[in-house]
Amino acid sequence: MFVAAEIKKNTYYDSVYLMRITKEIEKTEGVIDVLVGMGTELNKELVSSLSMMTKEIESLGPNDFFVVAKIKREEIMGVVTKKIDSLMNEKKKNNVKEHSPATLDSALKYNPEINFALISLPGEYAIEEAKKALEKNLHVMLFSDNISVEKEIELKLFAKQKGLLMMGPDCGTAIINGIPLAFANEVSRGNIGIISASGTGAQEVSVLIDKLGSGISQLIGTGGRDLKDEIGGITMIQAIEALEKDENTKIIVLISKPPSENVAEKIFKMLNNSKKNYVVNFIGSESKNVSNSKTHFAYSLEETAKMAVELANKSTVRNKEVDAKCKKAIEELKAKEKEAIASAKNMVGNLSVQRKYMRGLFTGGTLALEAMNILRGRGMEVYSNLAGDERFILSNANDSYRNACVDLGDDVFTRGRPHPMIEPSIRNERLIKEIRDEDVLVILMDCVLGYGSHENPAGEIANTLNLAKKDMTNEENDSPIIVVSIIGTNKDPQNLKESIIDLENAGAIVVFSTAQATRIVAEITKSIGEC
Amino acid sequence: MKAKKICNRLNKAIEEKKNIYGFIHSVHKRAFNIMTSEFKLISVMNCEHSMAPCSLMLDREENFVSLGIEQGMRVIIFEELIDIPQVSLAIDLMEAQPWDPTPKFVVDKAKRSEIAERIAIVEKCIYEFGRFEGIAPLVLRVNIRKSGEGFVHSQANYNKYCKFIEKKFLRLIDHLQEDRLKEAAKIAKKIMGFGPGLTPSVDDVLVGIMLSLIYFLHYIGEDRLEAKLLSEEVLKAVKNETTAVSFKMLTFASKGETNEDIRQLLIDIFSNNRKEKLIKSLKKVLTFGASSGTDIICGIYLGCSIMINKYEVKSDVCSS
Repeated sequence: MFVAAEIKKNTYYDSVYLMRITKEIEKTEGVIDVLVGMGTELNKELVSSLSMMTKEIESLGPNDFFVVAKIKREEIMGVVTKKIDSLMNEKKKNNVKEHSPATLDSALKYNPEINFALISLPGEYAIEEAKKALEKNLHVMLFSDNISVEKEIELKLFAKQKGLLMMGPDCGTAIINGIPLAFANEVSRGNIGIISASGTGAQEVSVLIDKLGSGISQLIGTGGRDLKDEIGGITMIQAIEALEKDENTKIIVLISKPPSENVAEKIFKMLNNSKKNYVVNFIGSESKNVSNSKTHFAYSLEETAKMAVELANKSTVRNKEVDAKCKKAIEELKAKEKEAIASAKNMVGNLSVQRKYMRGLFTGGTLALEAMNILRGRGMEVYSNLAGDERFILSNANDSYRNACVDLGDDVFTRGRPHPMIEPSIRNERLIKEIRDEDVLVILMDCVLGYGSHENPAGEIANTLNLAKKDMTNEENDSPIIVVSIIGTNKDPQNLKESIIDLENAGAIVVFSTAQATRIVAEITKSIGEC
Repeated sequence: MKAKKICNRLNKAIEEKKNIYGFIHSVHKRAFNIMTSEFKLISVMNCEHSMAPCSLMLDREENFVSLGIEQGMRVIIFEELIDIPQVSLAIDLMEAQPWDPTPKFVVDKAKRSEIAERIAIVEKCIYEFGRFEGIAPLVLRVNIRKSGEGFVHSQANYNKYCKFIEKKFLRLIDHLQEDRLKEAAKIAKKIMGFGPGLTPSVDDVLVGIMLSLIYFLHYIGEDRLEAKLLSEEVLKAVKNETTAVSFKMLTFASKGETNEDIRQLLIDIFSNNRKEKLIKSLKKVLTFGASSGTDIICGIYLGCSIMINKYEVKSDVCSS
């Protein structure tokens, strides 16, 4: 073991920044442990007890700052020191000439034409700020959760009365006039409008639409509870009315976890009177009697995107090039899946017979639900921390049991820690745990790129897989098969191509939808006859 | 540039001394600290911050880093003006309203049973919205509330700081619970300055404990010396054990003085009819620093829980 240390005498960084430095250094390949802090006696004792003491740190006083990292190999010492140094200087760079209005009023003073507010504050403040924004005639996207149903109704009715959209609470994804907001991807613009009560569900559909050569007019999030009885689908209904009027939207996609009967009925009634084409994916729920031939039901996010694109292509003057591009993309996706199944089946032969279970480690709740539904549809018993069949609820979400799909964005995992889409350490830890489980045959994961997500989620998975490999001394080939569904476009801030290469180099099978990835997992488990 | 509010004790010190010299100790986006030649720390904050002892607040949102203020620059305070010549910056103190840092003790008191209920809310809020990079997981692990079940905190957040300090910290709680205050103070001295952050995590917890003891003893109308004794002992050792910023915070907390938002939180815990406001105050303090707010609230939670257990035999409604 080696130790890389950097000290700054009489230097002060605010604690939020210190945490960021810690997390960034921790992620560096070859780093085992990191401590960042002030040189107080007890902090130095801790450094010593973790075998990270250096002469420089020994001499520090309480007003001196240190960063110390325990590393595996001497040759990466320079890399770590350089990273620490650049992080410290980055702070200064970023602080210069930054304009960040601290209040809504000052933002409106800065630009009076603003008509949309994205609010991300702890629930209690968020309500007041949302009210303020609505009073000032701004549409609101409310990212915050922990807001009561009563308050949600109050805000939504107030917005409706003013002819404004109240997206959320708990609305994590939107693309308005081509601008991705919160967790969203950079997708092409087109004539498909999406209204969604599910964030990652909307992300996957919008990305697949982009991949199939079409684009999005608007993506409107409603918040996860909008289609429950209490709320009555206020935002979804308003959004449908808005997109019905929007000349640039030809096809409308509705996505949600299963809605309440009454709300679904209300929505279907609207669709019966519509002249536009709809694709409806109310995940896991049965199709309803809709007397309108323009409404189509899809059963997976992948199918939703394909249907929407096919309808979009039909709705405009036939363009051979667009059609051909779409067909080509579908063929490529099919070929990729076929190839992946063949390669996975080859891998199975090298694994110990004891391995028989699948484990799904998801950062997106809807994606976990979709995977679980597909697997259960194929007769597999899958345990989960997601609400549903009580017989298959995991008694402890921290421990998988038999076949299991875990939503790592659940409150159990995120209290006091960032969501794994932002900071993947929760999943990295769990991934290591599942890899070490000798009963696990295949691990299924999502990798969501785009704005709001971690800067390199694929790199995080790949690093973890590489670390796990290094830990294995014997029977090197006997580790679970990894299948990753990557959700992202070439235009996203993360590099899609490099992300795929990183994952494949680390031994993962990479495909482009949750449904594809889940089908591969189902084939793998079927191949050993242990479903 | 004008100051909007000024701590009245700081104001008095400026009035008494014609010239005060110092240098910039640390700079953040929304605040900077001046270390005087007498080693006193003065904080200058923009209007987004809440007031704190020995501080002044400007009338505007200002980013001090982008103004070019840097550590080590010379500062002169004279005739109601703070001057930083190297960046040609002057802050006019003439129209600043005085702000009183002393504790605001509650007159319209909540019932004892309500206090226990509010401490349960505090615990729930820490658990749901807190940040666990410091020693909060250790505090939550100690099920101190006799009346409630307490949450079983996730093992996953039990970090290296918690593990390292666990034994000593538990001894501190034992001593506090058993009224062995001198011993408690000795342990407090030993663990001071520990943990991540510019104000180390343990110091934040100690601030919360000291404040809660002072407010609680006033609440029950007891003239006991717990708070003073602990605070005095803590302060004897603190200066060279921790950072200058933390030392300033601990010194004020030992007198029951603190930031406006933390003071409001304490008022909401002990006052009648403030339950609705409590969560709002908690969430505000939880946003302090990376985990500082969580750690301070943990200290308040711990101090109040210990005192509730200690004084549970008394009548339900407290006398003033």
